[in-house]
Amino acid sequence: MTKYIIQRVLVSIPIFFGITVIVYALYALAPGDPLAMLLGERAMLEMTAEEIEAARESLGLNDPWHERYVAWFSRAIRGDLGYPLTGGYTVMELLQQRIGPTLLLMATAFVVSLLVGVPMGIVMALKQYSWIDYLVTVLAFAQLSIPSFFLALGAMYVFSLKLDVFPTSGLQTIGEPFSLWDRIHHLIMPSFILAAYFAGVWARYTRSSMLETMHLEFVTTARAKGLRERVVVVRHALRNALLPMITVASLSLGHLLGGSIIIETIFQWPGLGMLGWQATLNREYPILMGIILIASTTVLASNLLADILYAVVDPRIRYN
Amino acid sequence: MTNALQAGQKLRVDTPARRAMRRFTRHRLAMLGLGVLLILVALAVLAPAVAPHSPTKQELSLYRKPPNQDHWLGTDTFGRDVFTRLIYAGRVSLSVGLVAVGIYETIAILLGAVAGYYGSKVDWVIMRAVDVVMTIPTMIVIIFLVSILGPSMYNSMLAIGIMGWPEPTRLVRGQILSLREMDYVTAARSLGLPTYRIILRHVLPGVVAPLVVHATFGVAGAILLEAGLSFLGLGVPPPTPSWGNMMSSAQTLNILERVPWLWVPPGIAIMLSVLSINFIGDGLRDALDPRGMETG
Amino acid sequence: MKRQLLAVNLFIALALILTACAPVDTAPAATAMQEPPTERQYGGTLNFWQPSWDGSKDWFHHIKRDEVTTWMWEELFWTTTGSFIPVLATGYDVSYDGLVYTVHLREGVKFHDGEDFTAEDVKYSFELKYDPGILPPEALKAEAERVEGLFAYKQGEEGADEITGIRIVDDYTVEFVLTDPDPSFFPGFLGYVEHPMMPKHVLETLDRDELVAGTSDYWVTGPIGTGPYQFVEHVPGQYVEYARFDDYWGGKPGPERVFVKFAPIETAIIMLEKGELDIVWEAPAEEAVRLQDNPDIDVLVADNVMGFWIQTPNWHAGDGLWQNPKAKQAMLHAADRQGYVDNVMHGLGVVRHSWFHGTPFECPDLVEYEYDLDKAKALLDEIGMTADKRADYNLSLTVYPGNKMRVDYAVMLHEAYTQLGFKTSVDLIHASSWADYRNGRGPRGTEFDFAIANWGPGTNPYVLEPYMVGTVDLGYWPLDVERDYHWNEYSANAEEAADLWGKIFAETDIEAQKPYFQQLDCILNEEVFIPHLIGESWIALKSKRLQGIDLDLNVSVYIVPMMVDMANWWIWDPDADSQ
Repeated sequence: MTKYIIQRVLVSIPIFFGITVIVYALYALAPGDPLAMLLGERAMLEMTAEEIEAARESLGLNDPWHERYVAWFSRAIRGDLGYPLTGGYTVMELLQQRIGPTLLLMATAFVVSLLVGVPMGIVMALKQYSWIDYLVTVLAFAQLSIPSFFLALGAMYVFSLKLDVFPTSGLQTIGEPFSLWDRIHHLIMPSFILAAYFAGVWARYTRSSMLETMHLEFVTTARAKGLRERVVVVRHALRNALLPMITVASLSLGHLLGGSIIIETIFQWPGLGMLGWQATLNREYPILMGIILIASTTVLASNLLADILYAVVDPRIRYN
Repeated sequence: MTNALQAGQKLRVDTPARRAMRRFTRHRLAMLGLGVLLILVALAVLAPAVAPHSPTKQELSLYRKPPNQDHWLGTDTFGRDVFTRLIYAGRVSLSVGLVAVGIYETIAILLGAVAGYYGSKVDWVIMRAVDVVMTIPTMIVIIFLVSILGPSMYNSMLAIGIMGWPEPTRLVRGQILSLREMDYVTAARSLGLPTYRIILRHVLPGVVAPLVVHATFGVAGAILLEAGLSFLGLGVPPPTPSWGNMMSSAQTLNILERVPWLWVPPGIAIMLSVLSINFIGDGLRDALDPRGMETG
Repeated sequence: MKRQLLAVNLFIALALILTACAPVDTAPAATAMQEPPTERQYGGTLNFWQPSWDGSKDWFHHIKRDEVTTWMWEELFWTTTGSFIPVLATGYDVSYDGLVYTVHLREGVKFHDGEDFTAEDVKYSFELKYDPGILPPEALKAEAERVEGLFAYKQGEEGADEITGIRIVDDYTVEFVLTDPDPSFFPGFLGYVEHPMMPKHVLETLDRDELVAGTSDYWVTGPIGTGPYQFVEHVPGQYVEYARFDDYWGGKPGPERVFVKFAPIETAIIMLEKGELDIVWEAPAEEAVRLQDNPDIDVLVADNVMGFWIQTPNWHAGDGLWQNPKAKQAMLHAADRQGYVDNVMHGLGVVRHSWFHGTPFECPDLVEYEYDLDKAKALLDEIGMTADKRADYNLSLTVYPGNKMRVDYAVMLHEAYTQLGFKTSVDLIHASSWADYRNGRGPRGTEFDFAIANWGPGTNPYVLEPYMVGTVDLGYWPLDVERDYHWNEYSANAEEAADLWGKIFAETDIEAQKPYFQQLDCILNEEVFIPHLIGESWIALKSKRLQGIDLDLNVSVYIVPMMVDMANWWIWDPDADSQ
């Protein structure tokens, strides 16, 4: 077991390096002159070549890219992701401000999507080719097929404006002290909309995984032993069908973050997605690099955790 | 006589493909999806012949006319025919989906085949690259890439295409790893056939089935991604219509409430296409691999 | 078979669910609206909208009046076209030679901490703004460089540890000494939005380097100013909170609290309708049309905003043919601008024909370029841009995708230019990519011919001068093409225009300048200096609760017009009133 864990951790190290290289390459290959962004084109027109050169030098924009990578990496590994081009917060401070809301949104959406998607998948598998299967299948795929920006505005229009059951946006009612209920109230719409797509994914996944396990020998054996169908399903099929989901679910974290860009922007949810979109618009490469780095590292860590967890619950893995 | 015999033989031989075909045709939603998709594709391909009007010609006096005899789905702000734009948009959206997926499935076949067949160090490097790209939040990078390259149909295809390969690469590699040890491949190798021939002729065909299933889901995902990019102002630029930019340009409450013919048709088109493609994928999966497999 | 039918039905049902999201709800208010009182009411919370703010700690980069900071920071003057509104100053005199501007400060103004605002603060604020340590080293506006010693100070030259041209005469009088006379100095510098007054007595106790670098906690914990509201809190990505400043020199403001809430426009409209916002200060015409029927919402339209949309040809492209006025006139004739105003702007806009169209400086014999495609073709043929030549041009209409109306404008032009036979494309450029395009690093290299932008005379009619008779690049086309020719180098009227600018600058009184401006506008009208096409009305949406807004002001395009008098806004709560 220990050996397996050590092995998995060791494999993660080159992956982490790979991530930093990709993140840095995105930055290094990006066109556009950060200095021009910083000063404005017209301002640069009125500067002399020496002034422009001096500004570049002082901002470290002139070094060759591999040198900047090494410098950047050695700082990043110590948690120093630098300063954005404007603003007095460090990138790390900005990420710290924004990661909380994002984690809250993602975690809620994740749980909701599992709670909705997995039962749908089970129903689909148990009643394969029945009308319930078709109904749930269509529902599951409907969740997959509406663009989230449309779902968001539509939901806001119906539930906030017309029915007045949810607040439109933000983390909490502005001007009132923090309360848990208020936070949950604000969380419901964005998290459910973010969850909708993934619920569809889980439903489909659970269905096929269930169908697969139900035909496996031990399930057939369990049935043959005369166990009640419900016991067979819950104790044998379901358990084994859901195990591989640990890995799939951990891999979906990155997709969840991607989905949160649009959701956070529309619902003014001050998380990493919104920050990332603003950083893209403003060419704030240091912030963008920070977000991608943090997100990828989180996914990497959660994959590692998932693999170890999986190995704990399913001993077969360790010996492969 | 000979013909009859051959036909008779064909009927008797129950090939795996034939079995798969039968299973697929039994999958009702898949058949329905196939039907709907065929209609959508036919409309898109035949757009210039089918469309009653021009997709870009403006007639400002025909401002937002509700659906009527001349304009089956009404007209938009510039007096353009919504139905015409819808089927032209289908060309764009469907081809974004197909090309983007084509790009990454091609990458996947190349990398997966190399990794799976050669194994050892090459495999290790490729699989670590897969791990790296898989951990990176795809959507953020796609947005970043399109914002750098500039929004256009080709850049959307490209950005989606170069971020999607890790998952199918794993798939291809896994399939090849198991196929490599199969008897017929070992036999081919012992016969001294060149490696590329073995991969091309004997290994890859076995990979196609799961890849096709994966690709169908990929196409559906890419259509949605294009819509998302349009919302962020990074999709296919106007006046070329895509389902995504038709919907995102209708993102005002006034249109939402009072001019439904501007957003309902593209919304339904996206839903129908994504649903049908997913149903087809589902049907294909059930048909090709009754044991089921990993989804994306 | 039955199951297939069921599935088909499900498809249809789903489609209907989508459709059902659009119930039309236009029930008129059951009871007649109460009339608001005319007197200012005290109390309540004002919720103000802001699309987004970068949320940085670095308020220093916001040392200019914008929609967020204007609640707490004020400047010496607000500028209007040809005039000004005194704020922290009561007025100014200009010496006979035009070199000394004496500014008289308002007495009795207090900072939020109770200290008096004096001439010391004025000098300090300018010297902070132009501190040589500020990165990036901002390029100075021409008007700023006119101030004696300012350039040397900004450059950090030896011995230049103050701006010598800003002199404190007494506690309430400051002199600005210029090196050359410049009628643009007042609208372009003294009255420009970039110089809010800062408290010297607080800032001089802080670490100057941190202050200048923007890392000082002062900008987070409690920046102060002289404005009607004092800073309470800034929650990045959510809101900025202000509290009423009771000792405000303009009298105690109405609302107790102000929340500046950040939200995208689509969300903001719903927030307004729900009562989560009181004003959305810039709304698309599309939404205004819908909300006109809402009894709880007032649609405010300001037609007098002196900014408009331009689409300017790249003079360097097209073998220089774009320099020919007839080419530009043709482009105006080709576009159905009135149709656009009707369809997309829902009538809330106006077609313009010259730079000063709609101002007192408008050309008396204005030529109107009506929609006439044939005339457009004829004009192009006449100058040798014949149909077969036109087919070789790639016209790129570059536009910012965040503004749907402007994207639609590009769509309209796309059709017009396609009709003329040009190869045309719409290129969406996010503001940050603009630099790439101009540097020829965009997808089209240097081949972009049109940019759609927002410009206009604003409050500074002199703003055009450097572009017409100077050598300043208009800033809308690629940088790496030859940039050594300007309007005045090819225009047949360049000499006359230069002469007119000379006459304008020789006068100090704007009334005396007026006839010259009008003659100038005739040249601009004929030559289509930059094709100026659509004047966009400024549309704001406000709740019935919000009172005291005066729209009848002719103000700048740089900031929300109706914010001039936001210290006078107050909240009326009809429900509380009726109890």
